[in-house]
Amino acid sequence: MIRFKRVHLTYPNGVRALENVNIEFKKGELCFITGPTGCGKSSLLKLIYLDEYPTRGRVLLFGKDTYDIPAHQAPYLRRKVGVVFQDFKLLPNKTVRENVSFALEVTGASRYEIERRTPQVLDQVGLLGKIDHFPAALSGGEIQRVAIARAIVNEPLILLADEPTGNLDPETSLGIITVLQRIQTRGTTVLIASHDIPTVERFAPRIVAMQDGGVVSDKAVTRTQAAPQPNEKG
Amino acid sequence: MFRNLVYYFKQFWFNITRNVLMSFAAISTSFFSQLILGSLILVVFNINHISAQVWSQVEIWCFMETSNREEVVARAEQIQENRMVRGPVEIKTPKKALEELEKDLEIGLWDKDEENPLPWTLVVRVHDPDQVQPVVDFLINDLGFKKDDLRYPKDVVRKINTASMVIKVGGYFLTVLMATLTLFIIMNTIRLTVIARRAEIRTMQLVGATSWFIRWPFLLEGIIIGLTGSMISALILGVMYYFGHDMYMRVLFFLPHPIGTLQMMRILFTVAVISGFSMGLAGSYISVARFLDEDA
Ligand SMILES: Nc1ncnc2c1ncn2[C@@H]1O[C@H](COP(=O)(O)OP(=O)(O)O)[C@@H](O)[C@H]1O
Ligand SMILES: [Mg+2]
Repeated sequence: MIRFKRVHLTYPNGVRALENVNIEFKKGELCFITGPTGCGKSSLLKLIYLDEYPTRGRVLLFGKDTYDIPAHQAPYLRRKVGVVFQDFKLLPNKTVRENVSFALEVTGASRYEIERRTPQVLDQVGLLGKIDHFPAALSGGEIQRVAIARAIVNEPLILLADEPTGNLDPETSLGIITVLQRIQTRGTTVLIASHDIPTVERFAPRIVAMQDGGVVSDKAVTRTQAAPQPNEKG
Repeated sequence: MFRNLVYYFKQFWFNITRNVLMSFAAISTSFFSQLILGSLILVVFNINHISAQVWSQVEIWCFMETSNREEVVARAEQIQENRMVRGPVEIKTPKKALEELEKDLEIGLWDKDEENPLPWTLVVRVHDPDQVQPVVDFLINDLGFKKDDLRYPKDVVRKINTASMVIKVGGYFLTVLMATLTLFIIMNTIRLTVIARRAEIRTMQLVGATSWFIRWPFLLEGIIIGLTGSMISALILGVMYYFGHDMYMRVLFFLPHPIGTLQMMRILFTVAVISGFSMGLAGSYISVARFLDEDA
């Protein structure tokens, strides 16, 4: 579903965010990407939602090299990749309902579809009660849920969450992870970037650890035992 | 709930005041440049119109050597065959020519008993001032008229020609200048709106909005700004023209007439719609394209 082949990403200012990353994510997988701040987790996600393109190497998305996706097709692909941004990117002058339906509106969905889907996903993240609130009137955990609702409203095949538990207390974090897990059980590939390893470790079937722009370990955890799996070498 | 309402109102007010101020500035600048553009069009079209009338009054007088009536008529028919000649060639008998001359000078010139010294005369008119010289050449080279037997306003022709050329070229130049100015103003306005909504656009892109989905509202805004400015200026110019035309016709009725009010209004509004629409569209398209490219 997602495949990185010898991917390097260097920003225009010369920062090498990713170096020789080889990794694959399968359909319906739940995976945590961990590592200290600045190790390149967000950059890795950006390559998947087409915000960045590799400087070297290839990123394959649904079997297609992201470089081969023409600009006019990128929006349609992005609808298949829901993103919970680190900074949420909620619009402050729109209500919870409007922020979520916004993502449907841009795809040209019908009024009927918008009015059906919006409460449905807000119910899914447990925020139906605050549908007419503005983001300013919400707590950190609630804002995170709105961002998740918006990310899944287009029924994406892939859900990316960048630090969804950052700045949240353990209990709220647990709630968020549970919501994301539930989305994964419906067949969506869910990738969660988090520097906060202790919080996530016990939920993770697979943990990818990064450091200085490279993958240092890739552990698959089965239900019964944790078995290390060697990182794929390109 | 109350808190939300207050917040909602604040945001609403913020957006409205910001947009109204910006849109008002854009519309008024677009209005002023369109006003100048419209005035230029008004002047240039009228110069064309009036000079065409002056031209249509330009006549080539051909003095005939023969006084045989049949020969004169045959000559007139020969000249009429030239496509540049407008309408039938007028045949003036010596008697009529003398009468007109006396009327013009307001004196009696000749004893009625004596032989009229004036020749038979053919009056030739053309469609277009540029055709005077070719017709003269045709008369001399093809029909064998002598140069001295032809009378036409050489210098006047040339002077009017030069003057109207200068005004036309200057007018077109200024028009292009004003059009460019309007384009830049609209581009800048839309650019400001785009910047003000930067975060929203960015989010739209990231959740999968197509470029056209993002572009449309801005194009609409540009077109509305362009059209509003140009329509108001056309309306004001039209009303001013109505009164100006009215006064001209009362005071200067004996001079060549300017373009009629209704026709002028039609010209002004056609130009306003086309230029307002296209400049609004082009200006906003360029601004949004720049922003979208930057981000791609
Ligand atoms: N847009 C950018 N331009 C330049 N450098 C960037 C940009 N985004 C991230 N970086 C740099 O790339 C490195 C990796 O960043 P990031 O992927 O955000 O790491 P993480 O999400 O793991 O904290 C950091 O050194 C960061 O400063
Ligand atoms: Mg990050």
